[in-house]
Amino acid sequence: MNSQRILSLFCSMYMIAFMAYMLAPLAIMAAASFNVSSIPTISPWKGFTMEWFSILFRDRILWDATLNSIIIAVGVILLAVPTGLAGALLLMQMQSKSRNLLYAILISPILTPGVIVGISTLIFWNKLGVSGGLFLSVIGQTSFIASFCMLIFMARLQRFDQSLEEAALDLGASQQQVFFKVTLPFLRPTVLTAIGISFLQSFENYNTTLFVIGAKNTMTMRIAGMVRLGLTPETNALAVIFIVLTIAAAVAFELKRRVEKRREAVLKEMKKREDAAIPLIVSDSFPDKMPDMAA
Amino acid sequence: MNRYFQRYGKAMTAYIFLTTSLWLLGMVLMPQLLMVDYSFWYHDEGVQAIAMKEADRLEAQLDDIDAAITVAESKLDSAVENARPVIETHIAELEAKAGAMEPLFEPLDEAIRNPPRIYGFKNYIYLLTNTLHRSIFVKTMLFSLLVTFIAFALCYPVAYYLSHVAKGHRTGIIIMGLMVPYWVNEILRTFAWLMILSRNGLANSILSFLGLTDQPVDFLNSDSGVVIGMIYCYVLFMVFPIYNTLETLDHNQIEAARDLGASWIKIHRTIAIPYAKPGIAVGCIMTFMVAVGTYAVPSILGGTSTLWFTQIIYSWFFDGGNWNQGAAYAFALLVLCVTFVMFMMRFFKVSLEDIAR
Repeated sequence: MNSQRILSLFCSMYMIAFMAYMLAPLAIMAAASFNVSSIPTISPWKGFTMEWFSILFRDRILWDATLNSIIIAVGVILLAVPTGLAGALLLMQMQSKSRNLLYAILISPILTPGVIVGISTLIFWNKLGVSGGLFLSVIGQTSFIASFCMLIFMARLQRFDQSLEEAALDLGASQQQVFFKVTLPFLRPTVLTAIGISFLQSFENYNTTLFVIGAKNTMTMRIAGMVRLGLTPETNALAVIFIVLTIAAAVAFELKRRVEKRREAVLKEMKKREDAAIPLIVSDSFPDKMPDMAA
Repeated sequence: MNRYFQRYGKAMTAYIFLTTSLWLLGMVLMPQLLMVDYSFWYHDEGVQAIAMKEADRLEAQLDDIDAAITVAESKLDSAVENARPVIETHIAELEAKAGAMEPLFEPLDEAIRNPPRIYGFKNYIYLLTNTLHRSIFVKTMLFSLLVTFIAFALCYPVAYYLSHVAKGHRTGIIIMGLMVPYWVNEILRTFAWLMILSRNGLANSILSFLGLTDQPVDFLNSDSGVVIGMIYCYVLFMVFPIYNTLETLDHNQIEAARDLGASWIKIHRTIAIPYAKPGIAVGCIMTFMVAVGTYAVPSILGGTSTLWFTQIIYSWFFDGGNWNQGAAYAFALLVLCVTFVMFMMRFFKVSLEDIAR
């Protein structure tokens, strides 16, 4: 068992090293934002300052660019989430052979490098007389973010008990009622996830936007410009804000996951007791018989 | 189609089909096809050059006529009364000549602005024969494979640890810790390494402290800096897919193998890695794709001697102004990616459905 212990010690050390590798660069970057030095560095440490944050908050160009990023992200959410949902609903009901082909084409934007998505969008819309700008950025980003949304919806729909819809239809609900009162409530948490993922993907995007943004600026484009020319710790101050927001989001996500896990466990326990109490009514098989009865 | 009507009703069915087809055609297929079309033609520069020359010649003639008119007009003022009609007719003649030449410019302008297209492989042949571009293409491919391989080697133990060694809350905390670098802007992650790798950055301080180097290493103008930054930026595209598949592996299988005396190498080789294949395939595909298609990392960490293929594509569009050439380069990159995806799917025997999970 001694070798086992060495192995597990090695394992732990590896994990510590890996986490340090992932987090230390961010920590160094964050620390440099408080250094007086006018180039971003932590050695030599010239003293503590908040000056770079106040410069950051006065940076009009950056905040204008951020506004553009938000406009684009909202546009992407409005287009990509309903589009992804439509694609998922279409594929879920499809059974023919062409399903695989359609599926492959609809997820291909994810497997295509972002620059190529940008280039094809630029060429296509240029032909229609539209040149780069906020609109093209929305279109270009939507083409692949919709694929992500579609996958998120499909994963959720696969766990959807279709007999619920059938039951509602049999009981006389119209198709619209079924969609808005049965399917959509089931998808509600997924819609929120899709909105969140779309926003992040859009806000962070660089490779696609680079080709379709034209003369406009987004926050990510602006950061890239700041990093390439005229590097000051202002960029580090921005990084601190990003890191704090990401940590907050990650903590919120983790807490939500734990609450859900606990709720699922409670539900499972309740169901177990219920099943034990009334073993004669096999509630699970009931909906399956509904269509036969209707026929 | 009937199934959709029955299930969703008319309005919903219309929305589903209309939206999906707009996406499919307007955002995916048609733009891609047009890009491919662009890559196969070029403007006939010969015709353009001839038209320009001809336009210049006509322009010169026109200038001569204008000069003659000016001369004649200056004569007109000082001319005696009965010479005037002669000069006036002469001017009228010249003006008529100039006027007659105007329509000649139209087709020439058209040929200069929009020279005829010639379909052919010229754009691709250029990529194959330009040794610099060809070598950058090959370099981009090889370094992306290297990044993918290193990312896999780094990440497999992490994914295994998260799914089968770590217990309870610790998994959650580690994943939370990994989410932070995963979601922080790619540019900022690269910037962190710009600080570390710069001449008087942390990496050089450590190297000289350990006495390994006597003068600073210039990471930022060598491919090593780009590769180091890329591994950091894209390593997590590998962790999460492998973790997701390994998580569903029943731990009892590993326990059983261990009880039966299998060494840990054998457990990984015969149980864990074969089981994780779909995850490994997805991780490799995603990592390779972002590495091959990145513009951010090489443009920030690299110098002029470390150009990445995406940077050449960019310069065809925005510096060179030759979109056709750029489209051909982009399509070559796309073919490389598709080939890699196909190869990985064949090699790991996974389907597209597994990839998207």
